[in-house]
Amino acid sequence: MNLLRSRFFQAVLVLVIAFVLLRFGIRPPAPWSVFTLYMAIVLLAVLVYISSDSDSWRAFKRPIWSTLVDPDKRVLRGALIVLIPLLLGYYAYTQAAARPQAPPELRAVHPAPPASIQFRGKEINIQGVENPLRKDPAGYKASVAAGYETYIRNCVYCHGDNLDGHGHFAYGFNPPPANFEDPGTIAMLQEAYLFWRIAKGGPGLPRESTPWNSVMPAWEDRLTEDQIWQVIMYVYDATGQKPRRWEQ
Amino acid sequence: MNTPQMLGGEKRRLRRTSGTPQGGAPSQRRRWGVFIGLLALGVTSDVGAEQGDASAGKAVYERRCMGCHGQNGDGKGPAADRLDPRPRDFTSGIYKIRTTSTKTPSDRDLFTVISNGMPGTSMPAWSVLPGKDRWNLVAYVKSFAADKFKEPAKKQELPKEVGASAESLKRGKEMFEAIECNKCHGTEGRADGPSVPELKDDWGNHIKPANLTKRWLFRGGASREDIAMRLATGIDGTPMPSFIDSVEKPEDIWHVANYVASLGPETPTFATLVTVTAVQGTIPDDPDADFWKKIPPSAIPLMGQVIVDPRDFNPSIDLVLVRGAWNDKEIVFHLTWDDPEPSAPDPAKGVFADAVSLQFPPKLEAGSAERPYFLMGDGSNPVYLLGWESGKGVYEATATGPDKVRAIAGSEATGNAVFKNGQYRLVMRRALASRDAARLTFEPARFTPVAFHASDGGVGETGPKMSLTSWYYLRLEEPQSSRKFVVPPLVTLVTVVAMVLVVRAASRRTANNETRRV
Repeated sequence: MNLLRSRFFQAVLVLVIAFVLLRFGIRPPAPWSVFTLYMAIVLLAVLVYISSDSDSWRAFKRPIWSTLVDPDKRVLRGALIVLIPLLLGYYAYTQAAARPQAPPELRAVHPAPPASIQFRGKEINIQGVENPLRKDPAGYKASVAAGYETYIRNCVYCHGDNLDGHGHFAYGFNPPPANFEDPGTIAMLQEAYLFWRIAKGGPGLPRESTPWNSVMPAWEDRLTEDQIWQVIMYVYDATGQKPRRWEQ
Repeated sequence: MNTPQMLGGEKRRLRRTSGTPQGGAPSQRRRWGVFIGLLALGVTSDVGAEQGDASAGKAVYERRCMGCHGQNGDGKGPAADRLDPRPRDFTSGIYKIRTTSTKTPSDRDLFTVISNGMPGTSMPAWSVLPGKDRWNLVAYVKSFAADKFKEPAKKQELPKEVGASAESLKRGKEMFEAIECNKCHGTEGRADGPSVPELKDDWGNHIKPANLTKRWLFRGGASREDIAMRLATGIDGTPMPSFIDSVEKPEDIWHVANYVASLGPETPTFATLVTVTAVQGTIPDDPDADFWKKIPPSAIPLMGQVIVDPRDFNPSIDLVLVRGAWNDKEIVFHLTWDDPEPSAPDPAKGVFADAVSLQFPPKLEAGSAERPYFLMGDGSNPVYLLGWESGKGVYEATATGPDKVRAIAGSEATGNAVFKNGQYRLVMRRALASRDAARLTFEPARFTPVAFHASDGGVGETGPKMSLTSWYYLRLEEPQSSRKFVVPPLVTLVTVVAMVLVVRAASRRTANNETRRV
């Protein structure tokens, strides 16, 4: 009980709890920079709290001071003087001996689409366009079936049978192929956006998304306009995702 | 009453044993419990299997399987002609993977293949589907050859398990040769045996034997138990026979399995960065020199080139091991890759040179992460290639596209390749600094973009028909620095001094305060 009332112990306890929560409580793990930022904020808050009045501040300082000077704490003091430098030395060793890692590939995941594109000499609007095949509800099934065939012959190698980006060739490439099951991909894009990405592939990515390393082919070389719209129908149908609509 | 619980226990055991083949005493006891429980139920085989509903399976099949296996289950779906191996023809009732002594797999076997997929083929793991859907698929898939499944499946018993001791491996190697595994799988297991060109499956398609050093691609699993089972049952529809009767003693199955498992790792560790080791003095030209064995390799997976024609959906070379070393004058690369045979180019027969190359940007731009197009550059941004071709040797070239490769005049790059037992080992060396703008000057501690290409001319790969990677990074390690031995003691020392000073200052202040109080 005495321990719990100690200001010093309280401060340490708050820091430890914050550390455990931030380090292990967040999934997926927060990046190191964000983590250190949060920890710094918590530390600052703790310091403000314990120094809010002079009694509290004195209570906080007391155990530290007594460890520094009290003759009966000599053993603890000695142990700390040995332990803390050793820990820091070990940390310095892990930093100095670390092997360099490949630099991260930062990129814009969904760069802004152009207003229109040239598709085999024909101008196709991207802004505001809906999938023309959806105008024919009776042909929906046939379009999806045709899209499946195009998908399984061409797209499956990277994007996978499950549409989860785990195709045969997926693990050889960085960035990895898009996972259509992920709500962060096709579910937040318009169908015309997909048309642009499929037609123009990696080589058609705009400057703002450089440096790109995408291996996505420009499918305008192989697929017709209809085939691309059909594949788009299929990936939405197979994943159960809904395309985003253009704002009116 | 408690049978469901026991079944639950049995399921857990099955899952666990798929990872570690050794079953302990407790699971033995549980197995007996299940056995007794099942006797009471009147069930005789295939513990944990569920009865699937074929008509419900049909719906799943038509959404998920038809693209490859075809509407009629004959393996002629729209994707089939691009796939090697071909998708299974279910109407034949012939299945590669079984754990039965009868000719057809058990329901559990089919369920396992659907759930785990078949590594190294186009069959993915369908464990994303609910278990019920998968059992329904089992029932539907069986219905394509219902008469083949009339006979109830009997479990293939394996001889008592033998651990992977040194003697077992020795015996396994002897048996490996005695039962002629090497005829197809090759002396060192790299799928380069003399019979390889003649191998055909039951449908007359060419078929490649498994590369035993790449266990992660084994169709029916990579564990010793899986391998022993394949040896016992054979792989139906392929030239791989059952060996249970052709080994001298039944337990030889385990010796061979242990030996096969010793040929390569269970799973590969792929590299994300290629480190080039700094050395003092000369770097050997001999690819088999001990020097190279001491450098840990970076495993780089290669994928088929499917952007420009001719496309390569089933690339031959799927892995290159890369090592590198540099000194004050030179940079030297050591590459290792498997290829069934060194090809003698004969374009009339569709046989081309075997080749491999490293691709770099011609220049490192400070502060820019932009790279040329990964597929051998383009008109405005060329790439620099340091490559090797059988019969031609090491070359340097500039490329502005996959079919626009020009050799650089006056190349001083040299190298040396050896081929043995289905494997090329190659050394390529070059001056660190470049004399012109077409070649890259290598700089230590810089992240240098690099990509890899390889082609197996023996199966007709040439030009853009090859396997490749997108951009990776390569880094010339700094000369062995003593940093990691100097910095930590220094940090420790400084901290000790600082702490002692703080303690001193604190006690002096306390002493002063006390004096003042006195």
